[in-house]
Amino acid sequence: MPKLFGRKRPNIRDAAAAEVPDTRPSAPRYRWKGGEDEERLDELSRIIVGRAKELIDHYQEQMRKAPSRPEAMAWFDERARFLSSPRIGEIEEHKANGGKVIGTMCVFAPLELIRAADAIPVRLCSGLHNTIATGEELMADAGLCPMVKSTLGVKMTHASPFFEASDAVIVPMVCDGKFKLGEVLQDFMEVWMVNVPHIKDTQQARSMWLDEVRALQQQIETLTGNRIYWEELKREIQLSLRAQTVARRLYDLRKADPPVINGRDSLLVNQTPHTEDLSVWVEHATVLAQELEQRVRDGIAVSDPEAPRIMLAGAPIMWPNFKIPQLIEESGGSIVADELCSGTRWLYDPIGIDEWIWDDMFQAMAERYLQPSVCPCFTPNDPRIGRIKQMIEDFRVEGVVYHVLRGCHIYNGESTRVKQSAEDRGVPMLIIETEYSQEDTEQLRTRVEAFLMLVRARRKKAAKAKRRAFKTIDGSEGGDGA
Amino acid sequence: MTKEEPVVAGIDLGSTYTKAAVLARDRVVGTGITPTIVDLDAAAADALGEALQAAGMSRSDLDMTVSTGYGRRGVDIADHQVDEIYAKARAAKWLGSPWGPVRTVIDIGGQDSKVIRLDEAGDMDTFLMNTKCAAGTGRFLEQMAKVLGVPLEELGEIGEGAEHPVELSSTCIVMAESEVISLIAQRRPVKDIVAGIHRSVAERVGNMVKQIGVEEVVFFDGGPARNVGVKKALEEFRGAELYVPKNPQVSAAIGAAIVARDILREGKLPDGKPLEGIEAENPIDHWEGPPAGGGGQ
Repeated sequence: MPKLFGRKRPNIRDAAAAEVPDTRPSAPRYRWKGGEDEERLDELSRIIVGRAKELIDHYQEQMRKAPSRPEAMAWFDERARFLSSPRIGEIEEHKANGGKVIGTMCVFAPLELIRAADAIPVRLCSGLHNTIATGEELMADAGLCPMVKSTLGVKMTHASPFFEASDAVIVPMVCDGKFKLGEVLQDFMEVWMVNVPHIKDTQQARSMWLDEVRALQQQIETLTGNRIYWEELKREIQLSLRAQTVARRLYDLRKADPPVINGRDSLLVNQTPHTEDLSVWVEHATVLAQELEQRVRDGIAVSDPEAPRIMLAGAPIMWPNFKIPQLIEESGGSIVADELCSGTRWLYDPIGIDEWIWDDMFQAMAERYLQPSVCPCFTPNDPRIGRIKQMIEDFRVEGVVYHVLRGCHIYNGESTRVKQSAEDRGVPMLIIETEYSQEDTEQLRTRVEAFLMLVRARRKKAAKAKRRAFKTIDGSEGGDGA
Repeated sequence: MTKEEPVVAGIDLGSTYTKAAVLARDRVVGTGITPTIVDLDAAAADALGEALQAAGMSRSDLDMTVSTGYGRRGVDIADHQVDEIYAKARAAKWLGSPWGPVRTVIDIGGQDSKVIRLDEAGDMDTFLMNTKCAAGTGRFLEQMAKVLGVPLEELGEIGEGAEHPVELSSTCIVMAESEVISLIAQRRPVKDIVAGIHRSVAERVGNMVKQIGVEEVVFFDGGPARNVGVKKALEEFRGAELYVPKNPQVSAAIGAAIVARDILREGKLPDGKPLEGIEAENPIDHWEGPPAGGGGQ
């Protein structure tokens, strides 16, 4: 077997090599006055890092307040500490030994290829508010989504060690914001733009996507100087499968009633592999899954067992900006499910391998990023509606909170449809439109608290109706209960 | 006064005004209203003092005080807090209307607008609130009155009988302001401009009503409900007559007072949590966390 498919065998892809687009500018496309003042940038960077630390401290403190937080969360807490995370040192060491780091955005970069070439993938989508002003110096669109401007601002101020360590960044062309972000970023670093077909169910979309991933493979190989062979790709796909299995296990554990883990903790666990070594994450996630399974057996709830069961849907929520999940859970709700690309969607879909031959492996790995994705950049996006409906049922969701980032039109555009389909199932939905700053918390609190009140009222009403129905069948005069 | 007839107060700390209401023997016995200032405690004390004075009572007569509105968490005199959407829904059910039970509440506040639908029993069924934008709010009307140089209270009448209401293309306060100024420069009659302003608010709020589905009786609430122009425009837009309560500005405060009464009657908070010191009926309400040794930090 190794002889046939091993190192020495030229891969079929060589025959159909995809063309790598040459989009790099020969000279900077933008004049950026602010970039010349290095002192100001240093100062900005210090402020940004300081604020990030404050947010991390704040949200971690809040998350630790849970009466019975899983002990296995300690590792995830430590790794989520940004600048003081031990991960920074590991990445520095990797780079000192000649290793490469490749930044990614969204959930479309083929991580297996990056790892197979011995490079470290890091997801760079930012949740910080105070980098937006800098980002706006080059993307001055007040109506543009905060994530795009924030991410650009992080690069412009050199505030994130993960961004700074990245030798290149893969930017998928999914929405207007990411599209132009990639273009601006080219003045600062090597950017690999990837065409994502928006109608994905056709043969031409499949073959285009496959070619895009092939082009990425060439770019990764050129950057790292490592060719990707069968063995490495298989090893990395197997690692991804292990991660996807444990992610599913954790996902299923959130169906427990009463809940055994907070929504914020789940979200953090799902975001840790954005920068971590996936194999280490698998170990710790497995420990967490075991602890949670024990809790289910012992009936230990993490929060009020009567808390309304809420699903979080919509635009991504990036650590350390946990404003919305914090608000929901501190107002008495329990987030039992999410369909965020920064949450369960990241590791939800397994790679479906038929046979461990190069073509099958490569195709299955590439398609895994496109076909099952329910990002609203695709049309029609019926699978997303179907998945949300299924989650409402599986997780016994009583209310959906739909997070919209102002300027994120694709998520906002699907909100009405999601709301209608949730309501068809008798589940109310609250649409929250917000930005990255923390200042609108009180305004949002009014909405969230009233929404939770509504969910409780509906639950009461449903229980009453059930009792009434029971009485009718039974014919007896059962008590109305408490 | 027996425990069955408690004296309760509600304080609504809105973005513009702080309102208070005192309830005794299941009737509103006093209300108070004062501008919201930075010192929320002082604003709350002022409004409550006014309401108590009207009722001929003092603070020591109060069995419970509940606060609502944006500033609800910032005041010490309240025993509990409740969000204003719930308070409004509660007030609309309790206040009712001469035309029958209330099923839809339209509330235009200083900084936001909301539409609440109640079920047959008068309990909150669903609600919708404006996005982070001042269009379709009291603040919008206030700003427009300022630009036109007319008192806010008279804005409603000024727009009456307009033949060609203007169409405002922007609903953003700042942008609409310059649009109105340019309309003044074009010498459009003030009447038409004001009617256009009312229409823009009505459209904005009316669209929310459309989304949620209107059911009569419609209860129109909040300060701007006193503006006949907005009311008429909204009625035209929705095709349903609106019932405006006698004192629309204080209904959230009344709702908060009702919530205080509910709490005392039922022995638990609106979210089902037990009230300290009062025996709750349901043991699950006492749940305070898992048994010891469960972890946590």
